[in-house]
Amino acid sequence: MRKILAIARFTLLEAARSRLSWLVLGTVLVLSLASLLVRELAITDSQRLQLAFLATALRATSALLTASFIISSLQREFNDKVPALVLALDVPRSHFVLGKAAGLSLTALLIAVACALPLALLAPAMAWWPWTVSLMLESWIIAAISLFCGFSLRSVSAGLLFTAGFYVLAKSLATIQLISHASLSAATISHRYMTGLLDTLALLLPRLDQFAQTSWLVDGVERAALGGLSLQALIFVALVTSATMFDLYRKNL
Amino acid sequence: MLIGALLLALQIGWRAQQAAPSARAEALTPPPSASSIRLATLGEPITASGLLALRLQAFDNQPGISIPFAALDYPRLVAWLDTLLQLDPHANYPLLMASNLYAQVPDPARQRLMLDFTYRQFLADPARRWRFLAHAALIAKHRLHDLPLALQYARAIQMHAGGTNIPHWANQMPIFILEDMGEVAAAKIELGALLASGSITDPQEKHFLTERYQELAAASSKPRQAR
Repeated sequence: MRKILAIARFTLLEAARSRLSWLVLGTVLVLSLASLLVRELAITDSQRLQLAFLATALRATSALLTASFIISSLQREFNDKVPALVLALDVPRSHFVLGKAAGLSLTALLIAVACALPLALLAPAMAWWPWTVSLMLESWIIAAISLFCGFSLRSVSAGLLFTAGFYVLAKSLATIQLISHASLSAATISHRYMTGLLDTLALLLPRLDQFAQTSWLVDGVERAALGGLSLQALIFVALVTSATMFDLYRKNL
Repeated sequence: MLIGALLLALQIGWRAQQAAPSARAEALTPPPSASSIRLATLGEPITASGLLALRLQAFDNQPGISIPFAALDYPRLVAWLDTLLQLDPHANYPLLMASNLYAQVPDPARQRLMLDFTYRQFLADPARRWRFLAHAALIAKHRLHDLPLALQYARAIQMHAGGTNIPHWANQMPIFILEDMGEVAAAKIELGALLASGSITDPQEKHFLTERYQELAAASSKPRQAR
């Protein structure tokens, strides 16, 4: 346990010493200013529009910053042979993965909170906190996928592409399924095959469209179902982290 | 350094000689389906609805350029407004644009399209959308001079959104429209029913409406006396 905590601590220290915090701060500031412009352009619903725009932009920013930081930092560590050096000590590979996962997940949660902070000024507190908690859960999932890409793909471009693909699919698969099931060509074999494929894919991915919904902020939250979202995040993060571990064990560093 | 400055000047010069973007009425293409927009925006329909409303707004007013509303394809505009409301049913933007902007066009056919859109959408959510239909009733009365249409809208407000959720003036609209239509007896009956319902609690308003009722009663009895 101490080894895991030590690795997590050094991972957090690395994040703190990098320019990540300035990048997050700068991006949040620029998007907040852009949201003021959107508010000025609107002739009605101006605060609603500002809030919706800022929430959507900050949510995407949180995912992008988390993924790019984790994938690039792991890539740099592999280039510098850091994992080989650490594993040469008395550290099991599982401890190394868990330590990195803990440190990077905490970094992702801090990015999510920083991205959610400007919205606290615009949204009611009762809507803001469930949205922020679910954004943190989403960031945790993104961190786990990015960790998997960083360990397994060993290429920043491939890792970012994979994570972006995962994010887009996990956010839009429910809509794709709806369109697919409502299609007029439902009787054809190829359509049934594609629908079946989509339904199978949907079983493997978390429904990110249910996390951090903009409607919670602008229309209020009736029932955010944070328990279900937390359980989904926990199951998926555990699955992906174990896949990362499995991949690291079978690799020859 | 000098080369950099030259290249920067070249870039600025190149962009400066290009025409500024301008709105063209024919550029208003039919809207994609709501589900396609949901998909394209990764499940962010509220933000998409708001930003698309701003884009639609750009077709009637851009810095230094304004397209007359009459140049716009109104059935297409209605399709866009419908899509925006499908994406965000709680948004006021599409209804405000329909009743306060696009209904200002000096073309009765186009005005009626916008009023009809407002009426249809009002029926979907009367409690939230009654004020746009109230504005539509005023346009029907004062711009189109179509009192039966104004009365239809005013009665719809009274029937579907009436009660304590809307101000008294909105509840009383049918009475004044009936009066304008010369239907004094009907106006008197409606006002009498309103007073008898007990929903008017403000003493000043009750006094004003009672006086109005007495005037209507006097006016409605005059033709009978004349006969």
